[in-house]
Amino acid sequence: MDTKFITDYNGPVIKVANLSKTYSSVKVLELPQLDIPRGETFGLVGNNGAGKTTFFRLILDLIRADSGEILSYGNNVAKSELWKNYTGSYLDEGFVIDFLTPEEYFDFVAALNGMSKGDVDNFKARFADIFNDEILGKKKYIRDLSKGNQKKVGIAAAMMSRPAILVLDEPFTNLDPSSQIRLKNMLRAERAERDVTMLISSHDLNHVTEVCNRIVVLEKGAVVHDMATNDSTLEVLEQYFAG
Amino acid sequence: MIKWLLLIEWKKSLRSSIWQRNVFLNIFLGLFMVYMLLIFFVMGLMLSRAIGEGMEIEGADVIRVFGGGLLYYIGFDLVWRFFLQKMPEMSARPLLHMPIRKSRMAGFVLLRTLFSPLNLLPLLVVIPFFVTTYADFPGGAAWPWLVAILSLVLANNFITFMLKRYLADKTWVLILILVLLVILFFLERTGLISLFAVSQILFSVVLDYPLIALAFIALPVLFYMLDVKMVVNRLYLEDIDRRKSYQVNAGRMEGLRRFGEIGELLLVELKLMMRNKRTRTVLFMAPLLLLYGFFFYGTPMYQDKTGWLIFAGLFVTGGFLISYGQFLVAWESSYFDTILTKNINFSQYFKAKYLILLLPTVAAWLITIPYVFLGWNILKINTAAFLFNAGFNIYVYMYFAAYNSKRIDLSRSGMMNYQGVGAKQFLVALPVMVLPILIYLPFGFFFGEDVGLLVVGGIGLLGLLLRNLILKQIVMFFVTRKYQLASGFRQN
Repeated sequence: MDTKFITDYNGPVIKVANLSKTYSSVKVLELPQLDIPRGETFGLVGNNGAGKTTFFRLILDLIRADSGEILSYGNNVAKSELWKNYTGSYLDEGFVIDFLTPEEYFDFVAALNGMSKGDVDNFKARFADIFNDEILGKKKYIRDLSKGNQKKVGIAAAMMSRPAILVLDEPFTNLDPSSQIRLKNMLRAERAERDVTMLISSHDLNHVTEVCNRIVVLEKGAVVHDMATNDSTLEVLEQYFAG
Repeated sequence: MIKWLLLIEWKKSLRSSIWQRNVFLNIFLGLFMVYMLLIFFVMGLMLSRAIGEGMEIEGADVIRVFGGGLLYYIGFDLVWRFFLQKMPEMSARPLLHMPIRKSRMAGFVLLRTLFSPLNLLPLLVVIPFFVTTYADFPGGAAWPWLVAILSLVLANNFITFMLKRYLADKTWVLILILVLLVILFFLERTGLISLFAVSQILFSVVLDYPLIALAFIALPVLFYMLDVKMVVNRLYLEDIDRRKSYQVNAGRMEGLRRFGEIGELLLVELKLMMRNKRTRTVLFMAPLLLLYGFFFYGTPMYQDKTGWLIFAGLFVTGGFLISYGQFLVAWESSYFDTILTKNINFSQYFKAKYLILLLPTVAAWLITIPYVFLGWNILKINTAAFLFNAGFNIYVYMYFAAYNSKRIDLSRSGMMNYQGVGAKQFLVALPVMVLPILIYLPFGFFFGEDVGLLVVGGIGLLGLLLRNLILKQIVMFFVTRKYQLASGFRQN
């Protein structure tokens, strides 16, 4: 696809205005205004039910907002499907087709994004560390892999086309310690190497402060903290969640 | 102990979401069952008189003739049990680590199979017959005779358990059974061995030597023990948890990838069909509807009732369409978010869906062309029905697929599986099955059969020609429905 409008675009990559979502008269998300600038690694934290997944689902046009809109590179995600061309995402197991083998699934995603065979080989090499010889060449369907390995497949598929926007919901949960560290390094490398805006939610305060340069804390659907990451961020977060 | 297990099962069935959501369907199925039971009961009451008067015999001879039919009955009993009887699913997982002996769990599961209404059916025939002919039995043979029959019914129950639980996935078992049936049918037809005679002799022996009944009792006991052994041997997490994986080599299908995005989508869909239990059942059952033609097309009774024959034609050429099409989108419920967020063009997506339905329908039509040997008009009817399926019904199903937001668990077997079935499915059946007949009738009546068929087929042809336009409408409708679908599919 034509990526020129992405390169030429100036302004917040994600622009949220007057967004709200209600489930059976309980307001689960209310964001009057939120801008995510280009190249930011945006971390979202909050206890269960704070509205993290709801926010991500709205960004991916999986649920309908009750009011307001989300602009992705200037286009309303609920009206135009342009965002699918440059957005990689993994929220939960519903994002992988579990009766395919990992290879088949990667080939499928690659074909959808117009990647060449070389691109796919390249991708496999990039993820070799994280896959740790447990994913590729095993002749197993994704549903027969462990939870952690299923998640790796989903995250890798989200990242494989090197999308301009990457949305990951709790990417570290269920991963073994080595994989967590490798994924963390990979995300930081992505940020350093190329023009990518990442949205990551996590329950692990350490990881999220290490990877993200901005942290937003949600509580009952509203933003209660919004800060640039610095040396004291972890402390602030720990204090908030302890209280 | 058993009391507690029963209590857990009771709560499970009460609280299962299927039950709560599908009251309508359950009432419908319940009424149907009651109706069947009534029919059987009346049949049982009338049978001795019918046989006696029909064959002009009386006394013990009536019982002997009845005995001749019993093996057939036991055979059919086994067949429909295989398709209809629901096997109790014990959620063994949370019980495994508790102090319950495995053989006891197995016994409990088997005990529950006895409560199936299908065990009641044979009783409803045999017992009224037994009561009405009791006086005619040779001395002392009455009760042993009854015990022998009930033993066979009970044995059927335990054989079904074995077949459904552990052997149904093994293709060779199904082939073996099929071959056996064909051989029996052949022997019967050629008159080499008549099952009727065998059956008559078998049950007459019981009448003449009542002690033989003890041998019959051994059968259910044997199968019960085999079942217990099978269950106990498989009460391991790896057997319970593991959804069966079908290793399917996709080698040849990968060629589809040459056709770009549509090819990719088709490839995924083919793998979906072949690698999941529920869809495999559909694939297995759909070709059976091809044989439906023998019943209708081949029966002289229907020869001049073109309306009925159109109905048959719709089934014959639309077997796959009907069984797969109604869940066209819902099959993908477990990964629907993938479809929505990955770079997939919805019009390509629906074009792939269209082909998935169209190609098997065309294939069904081609395969059923040989029905022409039953008459030239059969081919005309079959073709008109095919065109209507391909050019009209296909869109109805695609349209309704975007309505069907019930999640489907692909790992469950599809036989008698009503998960995802709601009142909507019955509503779809209406236009799809009845409309073409309603269209045919006035034209057929006033202008003759050919014109009627031409109109039905013509509508289908028109639909085929306008496919791009119609598909576009369906896509537009789907886009407005996708949020409801996604949220419905997310609910377990």
